[in-house]
Amino acid sequence: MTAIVTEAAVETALDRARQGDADAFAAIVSEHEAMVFSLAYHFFNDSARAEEIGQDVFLQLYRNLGSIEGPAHLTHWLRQVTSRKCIDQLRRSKLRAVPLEVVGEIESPARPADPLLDRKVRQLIAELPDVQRMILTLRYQEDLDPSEICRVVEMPVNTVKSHLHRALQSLRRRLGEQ
Amino acid sequence: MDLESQLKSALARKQPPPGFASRVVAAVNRGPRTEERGRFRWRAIAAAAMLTVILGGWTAHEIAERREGERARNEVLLALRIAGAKVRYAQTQVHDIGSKR
Repeated sequence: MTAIVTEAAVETALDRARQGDADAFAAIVSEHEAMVFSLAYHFFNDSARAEEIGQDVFLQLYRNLGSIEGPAHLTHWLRQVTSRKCIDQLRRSKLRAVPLEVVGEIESPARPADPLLDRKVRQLIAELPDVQRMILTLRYQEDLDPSEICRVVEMPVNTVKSHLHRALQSLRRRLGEQ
Repeated sequence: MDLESQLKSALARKQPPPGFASRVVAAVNRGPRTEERGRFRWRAIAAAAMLTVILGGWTAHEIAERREGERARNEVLLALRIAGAKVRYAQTQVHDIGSKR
């Protein structure tokens, strides 16, 4: 499995994957797996569920390779489909995100400066309403600004800003209370 | 550390369990997941059941209509036979009266 490092390489891998090259598709998966998996993991706090969502997303990608216009569209498509699948699945199954206490946590590549605070912040994020949690994840995991987030979650930009503002306000208040 | 930095740290990307990409490719090669295949099977069964009900209903309706037509035809033939017998009887009576005169 080859690693993709440049946008041109992604473009080439997309072309090859569209022609049925399994290795090229595997390279695309490897390139984007951390993004897709992490969006679902931060939403559900559940590694198994995040992997299941990730598999569904990439299977859907495989069936829709023909509609992907290029590397930027691919990244946008993956973020959009992942966030939609997460919210839909949670609403359908009426499941709540699993609290961090019962989840085996996954190590980040970079160790947090304060693991206890990091855990506390993640606990508070897990308690946010579903849409706020997804928007916050897109903002801080993917480093997207509200005008980009609104295209992913298909909401007006002011609604996204309002969700973001309320989420940050809630986190500040609850962190201040501790 | 400010809240923004804390959030970036807490929501940093994480690597999926090892072998994730291989499992995805294997799933792609396997085709639709079992539950999707199951959903398709149930849809096919439901469609077949609906088709059976529609065809069955249509056939039953056809049979009932044919029976109704035959019954009506038999009634008309019986009525004609009775009417014919009565006409014949009347003709005989008229003939008898004529020959007596």
